[in-house]
Amino acid sequence: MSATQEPNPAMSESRISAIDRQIDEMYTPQTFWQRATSSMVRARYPVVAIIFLTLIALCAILAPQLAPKDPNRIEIFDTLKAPFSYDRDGELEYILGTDSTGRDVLSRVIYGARISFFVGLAAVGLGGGAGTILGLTAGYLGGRVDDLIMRLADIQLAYPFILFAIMILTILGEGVLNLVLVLGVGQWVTYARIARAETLVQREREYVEAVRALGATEWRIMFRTIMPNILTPLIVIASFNVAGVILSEASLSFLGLGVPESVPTWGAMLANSRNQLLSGSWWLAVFPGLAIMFTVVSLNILGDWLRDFLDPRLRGSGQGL
Amino acid sequence: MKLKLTLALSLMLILMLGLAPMMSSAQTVPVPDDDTLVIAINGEPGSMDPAQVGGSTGGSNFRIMMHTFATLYELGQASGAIDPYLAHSFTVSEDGTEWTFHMHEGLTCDDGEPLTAEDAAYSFNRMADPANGFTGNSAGFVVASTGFVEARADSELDVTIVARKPQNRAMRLGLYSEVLVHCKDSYEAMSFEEAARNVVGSGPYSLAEWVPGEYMSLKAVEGFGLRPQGFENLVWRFIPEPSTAVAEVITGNVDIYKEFPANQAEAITNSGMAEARFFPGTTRTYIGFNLNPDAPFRVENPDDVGAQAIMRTDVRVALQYAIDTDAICENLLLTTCERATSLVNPSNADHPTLEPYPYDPAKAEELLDAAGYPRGEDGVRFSLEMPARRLTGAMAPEVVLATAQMLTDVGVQTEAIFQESGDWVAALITHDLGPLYFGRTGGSEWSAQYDMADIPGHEAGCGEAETNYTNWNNDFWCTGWDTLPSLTGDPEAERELEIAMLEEFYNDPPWIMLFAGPRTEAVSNRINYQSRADYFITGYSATLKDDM
Repeated sequence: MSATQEPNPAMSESRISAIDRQIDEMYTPQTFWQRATSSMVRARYPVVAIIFLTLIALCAILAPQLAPKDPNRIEIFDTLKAPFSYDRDGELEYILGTDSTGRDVLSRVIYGARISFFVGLAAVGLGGGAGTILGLTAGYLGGRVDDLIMRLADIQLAYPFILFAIMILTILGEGVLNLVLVLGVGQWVTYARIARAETLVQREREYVEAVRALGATEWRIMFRTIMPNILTPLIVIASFNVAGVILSEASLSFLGLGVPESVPTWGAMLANSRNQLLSGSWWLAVFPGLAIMFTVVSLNILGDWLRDFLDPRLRGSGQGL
Repeated sequence: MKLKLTLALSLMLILMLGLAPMMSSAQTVPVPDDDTLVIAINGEPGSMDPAQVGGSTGGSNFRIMMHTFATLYELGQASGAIDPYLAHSFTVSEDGTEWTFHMHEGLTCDDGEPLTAEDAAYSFNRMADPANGFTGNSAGFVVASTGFVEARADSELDVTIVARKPQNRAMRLGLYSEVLVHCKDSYEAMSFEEAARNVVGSGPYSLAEWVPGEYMSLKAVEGFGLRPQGFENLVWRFIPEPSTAVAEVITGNVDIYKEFPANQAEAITNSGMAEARFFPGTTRTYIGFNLNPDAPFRVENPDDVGAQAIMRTDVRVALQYAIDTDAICENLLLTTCERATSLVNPSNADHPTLEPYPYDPAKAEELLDAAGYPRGEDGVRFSLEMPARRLTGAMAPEVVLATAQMLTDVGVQTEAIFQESGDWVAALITHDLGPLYFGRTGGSEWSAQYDMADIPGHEAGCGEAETNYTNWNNDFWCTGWDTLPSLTGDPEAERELEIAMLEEFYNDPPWIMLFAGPRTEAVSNRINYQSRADYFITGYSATLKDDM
């Protein structure tokens, strides 16, 4: 048994060139977006999620152009038409059928994307923004400010969110902006706790000491120095959170506390389908249900990928994709 | 460590024992059997006080309290009948203002207290006393509509009810038949809060159990001989969701469910468990024009074109032509119905010659143009909001939305706004709901004047009267209403005036007239039960079929 192995000249040449390519790739400077794209392509599922979410976003933006009918147009002679119903002239009129008032389900699903996306992004923006600022302030200033903010967070966590939302919406009334407000207020605690924990770690770092020694104001240290360094986990949380908020919107609309009847939303469509299921009108629940499901799954896949991609501990290990 | 473990296990045991009753109550919702009839209703009573019928506490309590409390006379099962009940007969004074009811002997309340004329008089006076603050059907509608003054016990079995004026006999008897009689000593001993949660009844059934959010169970009163008691137990299940109630009918867990969604009739019939019935109803469905000049929507926004436009008679007439009631009934309610010509039920003694406004959107547009409200560049003449409730049957959201669409189609952009029932009723009774509102009001088959009583005369305030929700201030109508009592001895003249008043209603409409009912009712195949055209469910009259 020899201690060394004779190299195979033909094999080693191809191996060497492959290794060279990998080394080239590792040491060739890549932009953030290049790394993100190649990571996403390697993982495959996030690409599918991105494509689906892009399609939904396009539906939301181009709803008036894409929807075949006015989503609120009531056609009393066309109630509960099954999917792929033809009109009297033999033309395909209702691809996803109609509801109990003859409204076109496809058009309502397309318009429903607007509310789901808007509410999801706006509520997370509101809650995330407020939570990050409060968490950062609590973590950096500490003392009584920290106590006050964190006790407020504890109080809110101790109160079931759905009850809180019902109470506020009963007082404020239904409406998209009220819904965003309630859902946003419901999210801030998560961001505040993470931002505070990250700030407590970052404020002891040398680079913060260095900036302070240079005479930077507290305001500048908090928002220009520390904040950029705590955003990564918050962005990951936000990507998951959008999915959660879309589900909350659907739940509140299902309870009749979402938006007015004239605004089509996926949750409200599901709610209205309840009384028609026994009459066999399955399409009223299935299509908005699928829209919610695929959107939430896509956002979760994207959140998973983002978490792995942005985590430096997983980067280069194969796990970080 | 051992101590901690012991403490933790003890805590778990206490928790489990504490939760056990909750778990068992959830598992013991009564199901139909040979002794038990189960009826589903969508709302839970807010109060079981017999003086607080409907109103701010919701109407579902009337259906149940008809079984726990009796009345002097009763709105009968058969169409138009008013039958003796606690009283076997009555006499009327010469001037028609004093009605004396002669009660049966030996009556008692649930707690054994003898039920006498003093109790009947107390029941009327208690519900009518403004100091008690009752609202709803008895305290709001009956008192105002009869011109109630007082009730007194003339003897142990004779109670006299005094009104300001004489009145059409059928109407007054019907109204007095809606006052639930209860025992004085029992209710004087209770606070209003206690009376809302407890029942000391006078009817064929007594309250056995009330599980909030779940059901109310009634037990047949032994020896009650004035009405049948087909089942020993009557269970009223509170099921807010119509589809859930239908599912319970289909699985045999519910025997009677009134006003199921029409498109679920096939599922009910195919189940083989129950029959899906369709029949004309007496509850009048309409779109009200709120004409109150002081309504918040008018005061806060004086430039609102729509709110001002509907103050005009020609606009209100034009909008009558915009609604296709036949299409609504055939496509959404899956039955046929007759369009109303006034606030009186078509099945009641309505106007003999008036024809219902036809569906003619072109004519509606022509009249709106002529009224000075042409379509704008966006196709809209003016906009209106229409508050409504999420109810079932003829008040289902589909019907509300369809009418809003029909008005929008003639250029009157109408937005249906669904409100919580309590908010909707509160705004309705203060005449602040609107500018349009989608409403309904109970009706009868035994008196045209009963249906007309929603809009009383000047003496009751005319436009300002509580039940005149549209605030319609029509002098001819209100003067006519005040004149009707003087014509009780002359039926022809009385009828002539009724007809003239209905014509006025038709020509100066405060409502967009729709239809009465129609009603649906799912009835289990195991029982004999006659459906009622009105709002009520008389569970006591149901019996088990012989072959069951």
